Amino acid sequence: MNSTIAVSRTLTIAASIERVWQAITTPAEIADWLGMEAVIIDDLAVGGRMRFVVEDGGDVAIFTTVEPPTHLAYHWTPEAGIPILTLVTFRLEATEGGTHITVTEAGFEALPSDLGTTVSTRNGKGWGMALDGIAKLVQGTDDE
Amino acid sequence: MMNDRTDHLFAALADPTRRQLLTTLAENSPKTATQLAEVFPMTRQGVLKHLDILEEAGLVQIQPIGREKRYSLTPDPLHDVSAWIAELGAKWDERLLRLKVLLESDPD
Repeated sequence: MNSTIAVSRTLTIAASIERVWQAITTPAEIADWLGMEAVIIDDLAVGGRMRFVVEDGGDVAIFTTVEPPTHLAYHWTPEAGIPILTLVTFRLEATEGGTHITVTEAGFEALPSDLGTTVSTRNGKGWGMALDGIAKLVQGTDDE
Repeated sequence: MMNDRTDHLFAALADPTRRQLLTTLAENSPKTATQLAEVFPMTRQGVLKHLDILEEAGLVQIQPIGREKRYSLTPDPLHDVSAWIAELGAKWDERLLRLKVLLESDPD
């Protein structure tokens, strides 16, 4: 079960790559766009922790990649109460007049994709349909 | 979107043994706990515990045929998972748009 199921989105922002990096790593700014208060508990460094404050408590994210200003990644809980961790990765790329930002949230392989393949070849329903939906999501991100 | 059912669903899918049980049932079901215990490195009691969790998540169905219960795969709840992942994708769209607005309205 090594396959990864992920969602990914890309957007171009008319701001410098340094400015975008600042916005995704500074708690006061994270609150503005991510919609959750964030507190960096340790340093902004690999292994460092960031707490997101939400109504029913909060979840801790752990930085796995911190390479300013191009690459930031952390493990977090995708939604309160869900017993899986996903890996959120931001990749920034300077372009003419702005910055491409791609965010990928990966690690939904708790949904077993090889199982889906097995069943979809067997009866073409159920798992196959669910997995098709996910494949569309993943493919859809390439069009943007 | 979280409710008891999806909660159970993710808990059920989070365990590799249970995913393996689902794979086995996908290939050939219904099967009894005894049959499953023959191909899994655990006791029938152990298998039953996992099957209970899968049933609670709606991923298997029990048919009481004869003396022993038979378990079949019922994969429909997985649609909830795909809907949930779609929601998360939409959330990232919103977040990135807010980030864009934040930065592009910023003279820095």
